[in-house]
Formats: sequence, C-alpha cells, structure tokens
Amino acid sequence: MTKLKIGVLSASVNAENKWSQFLQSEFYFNYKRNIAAIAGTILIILFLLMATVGPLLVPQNPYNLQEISILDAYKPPAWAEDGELRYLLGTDSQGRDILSSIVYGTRVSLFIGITGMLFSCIIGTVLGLVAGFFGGKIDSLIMRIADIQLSFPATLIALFIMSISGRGIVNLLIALTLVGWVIYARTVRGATLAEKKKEYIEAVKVIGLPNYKILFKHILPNVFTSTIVIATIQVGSFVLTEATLSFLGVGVPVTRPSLGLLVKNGYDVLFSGLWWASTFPGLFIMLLVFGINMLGDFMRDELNPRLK
Amino acid sequence: MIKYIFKRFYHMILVLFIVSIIVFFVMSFTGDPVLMLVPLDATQAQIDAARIELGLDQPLLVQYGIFLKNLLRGDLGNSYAFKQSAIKLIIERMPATFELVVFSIIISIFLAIPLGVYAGAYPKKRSSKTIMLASLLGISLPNFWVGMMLIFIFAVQLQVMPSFGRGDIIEIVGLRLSILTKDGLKHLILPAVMLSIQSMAVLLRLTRAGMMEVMKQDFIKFARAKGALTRTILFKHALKNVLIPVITVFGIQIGKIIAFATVTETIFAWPGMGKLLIDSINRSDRPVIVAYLLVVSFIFVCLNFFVDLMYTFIDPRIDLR
Amino acid sequence: MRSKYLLVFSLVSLLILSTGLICKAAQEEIVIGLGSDALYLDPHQQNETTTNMLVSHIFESLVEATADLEIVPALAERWIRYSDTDWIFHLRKGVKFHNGNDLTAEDVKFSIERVRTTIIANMVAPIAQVNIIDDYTIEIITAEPYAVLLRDLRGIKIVDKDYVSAVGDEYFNLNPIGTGPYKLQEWIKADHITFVANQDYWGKIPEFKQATFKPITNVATRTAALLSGDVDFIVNVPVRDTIRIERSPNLELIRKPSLRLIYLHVDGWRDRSPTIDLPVNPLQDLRVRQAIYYGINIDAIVKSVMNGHAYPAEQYVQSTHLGYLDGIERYPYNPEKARELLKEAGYPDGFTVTLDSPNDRYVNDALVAQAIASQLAKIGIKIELNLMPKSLFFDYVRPGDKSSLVMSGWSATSGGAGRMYEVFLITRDKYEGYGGSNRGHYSNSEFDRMVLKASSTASIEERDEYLQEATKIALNDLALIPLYYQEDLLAKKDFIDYTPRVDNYILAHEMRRNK
Repeated sequence: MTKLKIGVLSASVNAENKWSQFLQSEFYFNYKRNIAAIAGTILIILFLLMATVGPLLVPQNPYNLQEISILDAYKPPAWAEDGELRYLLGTDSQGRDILSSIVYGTRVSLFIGITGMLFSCIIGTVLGLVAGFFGGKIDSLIMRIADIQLSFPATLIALFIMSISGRGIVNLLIALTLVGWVIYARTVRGATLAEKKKEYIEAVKVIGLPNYKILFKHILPNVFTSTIVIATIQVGSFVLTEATLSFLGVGVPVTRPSLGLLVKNGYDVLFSGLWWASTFPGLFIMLLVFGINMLGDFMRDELNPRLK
Repeated sequence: MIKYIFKRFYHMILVLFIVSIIVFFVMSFTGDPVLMLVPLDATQAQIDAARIELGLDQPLLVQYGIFLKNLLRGDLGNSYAFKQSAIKLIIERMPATFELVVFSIIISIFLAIPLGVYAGAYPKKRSSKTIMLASLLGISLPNFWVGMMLIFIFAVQLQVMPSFGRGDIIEIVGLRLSILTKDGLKHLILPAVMLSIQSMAVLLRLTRAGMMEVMKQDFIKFARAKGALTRTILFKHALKNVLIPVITVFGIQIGKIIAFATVTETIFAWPGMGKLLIDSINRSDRPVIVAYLLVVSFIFVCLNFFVDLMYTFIDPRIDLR
Repeated sequence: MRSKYLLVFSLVSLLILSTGLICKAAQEEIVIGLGSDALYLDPHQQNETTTNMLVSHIFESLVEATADLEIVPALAERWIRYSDTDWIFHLRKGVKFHNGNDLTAEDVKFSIERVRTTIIANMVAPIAQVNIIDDYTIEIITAEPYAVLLRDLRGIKIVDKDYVSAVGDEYFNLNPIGTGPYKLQEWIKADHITFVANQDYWGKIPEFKQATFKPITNVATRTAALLSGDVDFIVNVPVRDTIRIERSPNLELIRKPSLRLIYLHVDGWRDRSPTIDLPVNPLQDLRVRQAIYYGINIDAIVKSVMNGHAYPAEQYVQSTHLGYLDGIERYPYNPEKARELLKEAGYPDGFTVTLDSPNDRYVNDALVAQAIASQLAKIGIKIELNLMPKSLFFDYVRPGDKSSLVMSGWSATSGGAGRMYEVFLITRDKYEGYGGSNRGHYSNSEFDRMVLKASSTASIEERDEYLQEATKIALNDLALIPLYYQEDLLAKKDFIDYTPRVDNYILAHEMRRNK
C-alpha cells in the first residue's frame, strides 16, 4: 500500500510541476528578497561560465607553449604605464596573460573543488547511510574513524597527505576526499537514524523490500537537503584548501596552475612591485568562494536551520 | 565521572598510538633522506655509511620498534638536518607559535564577541547585515593571500610594519616572548591579524546565532519590560548564556588556528613550529615531521579532552555514557 | 545609542593593537639577512654551505682562503712539504679558544680524528696519519701524493679537545667554542644568530662588535627587510629587486659573476631513453642534441627570467679555471636551423621528452625550465616538465635511470673542470669513485682517459692541457648543453665596505665601516 502510494506520487510529479511548485515555495520567496544569495548565485554562474566557455573568449591558451613568449614576461596591466591592451591584467614570468591564466586556473580550481566534493559526498553519504541503518559494529567503526579524524584540522591532514604523496591532481582529490567524507557521514547517519524510526520505513521493511532499496529509495531522498547544503559550502572550502596547499607547494602541478598556484607564482615577485601577478588571482579566489558562501549561507538558513 | 575520564584517557592514548603508526610507516615510503645529506660526489660506500649511521639500514618494523621504544622515553629521534632531538626542536619553537596563536585568539575574541553581540541583538539593522556579510567574506578569504597583501601594503609600500620574524625577545621564566617588547609586539601584529580573521568570523557568527536565540527568550523580554539598560541586558544577561557554547566550540577553533599557523609562519618567517614543519617537509627531515605530527596530535587530543570535559561539566544534560 | 559604543569599542581595540614605534640599530652592530639558518654549530657535522659559512665566524682551520680563494696561513703559521705525502705544520703560538684554553697540536689531531667519525669523513680520507711532534708542530701524512691537501684542510675546523670531550657533542653543538674572530652570543633557531667580537682574537679584531645573521627564507621579504632598515646586508637579492635597490639612496647593489654553471644533462648514450616513447633514443643523434642547443634562446632567458643577472655560457668552466678552452662560442639561437637538424635526423615533427629540474635550488630554476620548455616547443620538441623540490630532485636524478633531460647546476669551486668531469661525465660504473652522477650516461673512452690523466698528475700545466682536451671532446659530443652562469647579487647599506668572496661566504669580520 505505502509502496504503491509513494511510487504513484513520484511518477506523477513532472518537471514542470516541480518548477512551478518551486516558484511558489517559501524558499524561493525568501531567495528573491535576499540580495546576498542572489549575488552569490550570479557570482557562481559567472565563474561556471568562465570555467566552461571562458577559454574560448580569452586571448591566449596559457598551457600552449607555442603561444606564449618569454619576451612578454611581466607586462603590467593595460591601464598601467607600459601596459598593453592584449594583456588586460598583465603577464607573468613566462609571458602568460594573467587574465587567461585566471580563466584556465578557475577551471582547475573548480574542477578540484567540485570533483573532490562529489567523491566526499558519495563516499560519506554511503558510509553514513550504512552506519545509521545497520548500526552495531559497522556503525561504531565508521564513527570512531570519523571521531579521530575530526579531532585534527582538515587542512593539516591534507597537508600531511600531500607532503608524502607529492603534488598532483589525483593525489589532491584523494586527500580532499579523505578529509571531506566525515561531515557527510555524520550528518547522513544522524538523519538516517531519525528517519529509520519513522513509520513508513517500518512499513516497507515489513513488506520485505531489500535493504539497499530502502536505503537508496526511501532514506536517501530524505537526507538529501542537508547533504546539498554541506556540498555547496564544501566546494568553497575545498577551493580554499586546494589553494592553500598549492601555495605551500604541495598542491597542483606547475604545468596546470590553479588559482592558488597562480598566487604563489606571483608571490615571488609581489614585493618587487610586480603586484598584478598575485593580486588578481587572489581576488578571484576570494570572489569565487565568497559567492559560494553567500549562496550556501542562505541555503543553510533556509533548508536546514539545525545546522546553524 | 572518574570512569568516564579514564575511558577518555584510554581513548586518547589509542588515538596517539594509531597516529604514530600511520605517521611512521607512511613517512618511510617517502624520498630517501640519505641522498639529501651526502655530498653530490659521494661514492656508494659513503652513502651506505651514512645510511648505517642514521639507522636506516634496519628493516622497517625494527625501525618502528626502536622508534616506539624511544617515543615512550620522549625521544622521537634526531633531526637529520639539525642533528638534535626532534622533539626538543619542536618544543623550542613552541612558545613562538603559542604566542602567535594566543594573540590571535585574543584579537578575535575582542572583536568578534562585541560585534557578534551587536549583530545578534539588532539583526535587522543595516550595520548588522554589513557585519554578517563581512564575516562571510572573512571566511572566504584565502588566508595566505591576506598575509601577502598585509606585508605588501604595510611593510613594503607604507613601510610602517616589519615584514618578517619576531623582533626583540625577552625571556620570562624560561619562555622566550616577544609580546612584551615594543619591537616584538609590532612584529606580532600583522601575522596575528592574518591568523585571526578566520576564527574571528566563525566566532562572530556563532555569538550572533546564540544571541538571536537568547534574545527571543522570556527572561530578556522581562528584563526589557523592567526597563533595564540595554548594555546590562546584552552583556549581563544575554551574553552570559551565549558564552558557554561559544567557548566550547572555540576549543576546536584553536586546533584550526594551530594548523593555519603553519601558513602564517611560512609567510612571515615566524620562527614557530609550523614553519619548522614546512621547512622539514621541504628538507625531507622525517624525524621532525613525525615529531611535529605527534606533538600536535597530542595537543589536539588534549584539547578535545578538555573541551569534552568542560562541556559535560557545564551542561549536565550531556550523557556521559 | 549604546550599540554605537560597541562598534567604537571594537575599532579602538583594533587601533590599540596596531600602534608601535620604530627602533634604530647602533653603528657598532650589523644585521645580515641570509636565505637560510645554520643547521647546527658543531663544525664537524655535514657539509652545508650556510652552516659552513656561519661556523667560520667561530672556528678556524689550519689554513684559510682569501676572497679570491688563495690559501693563506691561519692557525698554522707556516708549513713545509717534505715529500709528496709528508707535511709539517707549525701552529701559531698564543692562540686561545674563547674559553681561554691554548690551541695546541693535540687539538688539531683531535679535530681531524673527530671528523673521521662523522658523515663528512670523506674530507679526511686521504690523510693516513697525524703525528704530534711537539705542542706547536704537527705532521700530516697522506696515503698517496695529494696535491690539494691544503684545500681540504680549509674545511676542517679546529675545536678544543678538552672542551668537546668534557661537554659532549650535543652540548657542544649549541654552545660552540672556537678560536675565531667572533664568539657566539645567542642562537634562536630560525630567528637569529648573534656573534660578538672576540676581543682576544690573535688577528685583527672585527670592526663590528656585534654581528647578527637572520634567516629570511622568502626572497622578496629579504629585500623588504633591507628597504625598511630591518637589516643592513642581504644575500641572494631577487633579480627583480635590483633596480629598486640601485635607486635607493643609501643602498648599494653588489654584482658578481658566480662560478655556478646551469646546464642540461642529455641522455644521449643509451639505446632507449626512459621518458621518450620511441623505439630508438633520438638524443643519441648528435644532430638532435645540436637542435636543442640551437633551439634555446639563452639571451631571452637571461633578459626575461634572470632580469639580466646571468651570463650565457659557451663551455663548462670560466676562463679562470683549468680546462677552459679559448675561442669557443655559443651556438647562436636559430630555431630554423634547429628544425632543419631535427628533420635531417628523422624527426620532422619532433618528439616528447621529460625535463627534470629542481624548483628551489637555483635562482629562478623553475622559471628557466618552463622557458626552455616553451622555447623547445617552438622547434617541435614537446617538453613535459617534472619540477621537484631539491629534497626529491637529487634523489630522483642520481641513479640516472628515470631521466632523459636534467637541468642542474655545478659550482666549480676547486679551480678546475676536473671534479665536474669526474662526477658527471666519466663513464658510469667503470672506474671506482667516478661518474657517480653521470645522469646522461655519457661515455667516451678518450674523454675518460684525459680526465683520469689530469687527476693523477701533480703538474698544474699538464692538468690544464688534459682538461682542455677533455673539454674539447665533451663540447664536440655535446655531453652537456651549457646554459648560463648565475650572477651573485648582494645588497648592503652604504656604511658597510665589503668585497665579495669567490666562494660566496659572507663573513662579518671581513666587513669594514665606510669612513
């Protein structure tokens, strides 16, 4: 009976309906009136555009060694004395256009932030579901590991992992996943425990639905909102963590600089007065993370007041 | 209660033991430290001799056995680079880091609590909203970039602040402190500001959230109705109720500050243990990295222990299990 | 109303925190900004440049070297070489350690024997015997004729036997006692090391009563510290800062050609090369090596990456050194010719190869490697960069099994090309103790013969001849592709008078006050 009802419900809700429902929701009502959340969304969209179609618009592919010439090294921004219009934000040590590098770097930063988040989210959610649903030894093992890990700051764990595994995008993703899964596991476990006690789960259990189906079809959708809030904010924090690691020299490889590595590259000449090479990439990190946090903050307040 | 403390204590030791195993074995798979030490034109015989001298010719398990035995004596091996006890090196650098950490905490408390109280008490005001947005920006700032910019503006361009190091130091009961000299204090300001931004933002938001909860409660309304001064209401009645969770969460924040001190110390050439860690990573100075991680783990585990105790102490509703 | 006070309170507390006063250094003192700190102050630990330099303020050797590396008497007043292997040293009388003990032959013997037990034991390996003749006379016998004994003795600092035996190694490491012009006053690791002038010094008492060395690891911070007056002297000025320093009224930039050559190792003597995915090793073909040489625009690198602070190199040592050949010129930058050579060799579309380079060892090393990659891309050779911190780099390239192209540096401090050839270019695994770092697997028996002949002769002229012959062979084979010599950059305040040393040591007792 219950199974049937749920099935019918989910089938009947088509996309259009959902959208109009969304537009009438309280969430959307509050969203429209929250300037920070809107600004955050705009920033995120701009950055996503930059990472996807940006490379088609910028004057240079900074990874293509044929295109860059060292003779153009350290050109100041266009408005400064000696600046050139084709290098709007100036160039770096190899004659790479800073604006183009930022566009390509945003791509790397966002890729790492989002992929790292996805891995953490999937692994953490699965472990949290398993721990919460089955309880017992599995639960205490997973939660004990989570406890131990939470007593150490994530940046420090990631720094340690990177310093022994060496720089590289794969290593970074591994490090970020290893520090990122815990928060999902904890939240999802809590939500699962709460959900498990509810009547409808008891009901589907009675009708003999296999465990995995209960987990993924019935419990997972209910822990989805808290997960999505965490995920949004985590992308921002991963972008920052990656930038910090790259700055310390244990992040992405030099041939594919992220925004953080661009800052580090420019750092070497910042105090010599060549300020543009590090100032602009840093500003872009700040804007990106700020945008994510503005939206994430709003979402947390709206969707999950418990997490405040 | 006693039983709980013992249980927590056992847990602490277990965590440290696990950390020591992970750290030691993982470190063993990294670059060969011997080749760093011998001259470029060393022969194989010299390389072998150096390896034996450092005890690196033994099997891994034996090396860990020796390491663990020494660990119990508080000896984590000698730094390859400094030829001195690694743990002594860390302890030597500790005051510098703690000074920085404590000063940052003071800055964040002094700014975050009043601002948080204000923003929580008058959440609708434009200034409160600005404060909240600024705190969000504070969380979004790349820490290292802020440090660079601070140096660039205040030390390089304006030349009003020193750009690196600790400045004059005086020794008080065996602790070398720079905070007590004018020159030292001046050196401390920029790094401490950089380090405090994140925790300031977190603390501010926490205080505000707590204040908003408390302000809704009856006793505040009651005090208001009685005509008590706003200041009295905010700081005497409301803040007192907010402070407890704030302090406990702040314990965890200290751990984060210690971790981020590695970045700050690297940028400001602050001679603390965080910079020692980064330098040692660059030098493949394994014993120092191991010692740092164990010492810091110890600090964190103790910190968590006390936060937990405090929490249970303050709020008797918490189940001791 | 009240709420405003809260804001004001917050702002005031920020202001209070940000006040401070400026302090001025007295003229008797000098503060020097270095790139790194000493690792220890026991002079017989490992061989590390900054440490060696700093302990040279506290300790002395039997002989020392002038700024031009000429060997001069120090703790030994004079010496006589009785035979090829037998040397007698007469110690300077009346020299006292900082604790008041007299320097005697016992201390010298003790110091040499002490080095034998350390990681730098190879420094005393040629010494077979040390005999004390009387308190102030000591005999050193080498196992074989050893022409450069004096150069080696320069590196063996003399310590006080009684003191070291009494306090033990660990205490000695932190509380060193020597005979040098400065005594240690205080060492706060990673912050500063302060020396005070030794008023009982046997030689000229240093002009600056106090010398403080501060490690400022970040290059740019170092300049900032000099500009803001925190320090009086800095080493390794970043190449981008030189103009600012030259423009500053009270500062002076010292430029000095360095002995350090930056060059490329080419894996051209094996059938397959580890990072080139081709059935044959293209680098084996001389034309390909020549193409690489032609394809590198060293002038652009010197100008843009080094900001003019480097000198293109056309061979492996400078004209002051043994083995230097007259009349050699660099291949001019010629990408067309490079492409042509590649086509002739059968690689019209080039190939892909990895370049290994450190990123924290030489001035702007990572930037130079990137520039080379970008230049070679333009002739069709695609470079994958493998940049590593020095802690991993030397480990990675030493066996030579993983590398095809390696960028590295060598500083020919011993006055000839000999040592460099012995280490880098003699056929690997053929002669005991030679070719250990031959990362390109270069092998030319005629070259080997010349270098070995040069090593075994005592005559400077003959040695020069053999080494010149070797240089000629290696250059014809392009065993290494020379890039440039670095320029050493120092900066100081006007009140200091200082002549830079060839070995790059910064010695406070060699600084004078400008009148």
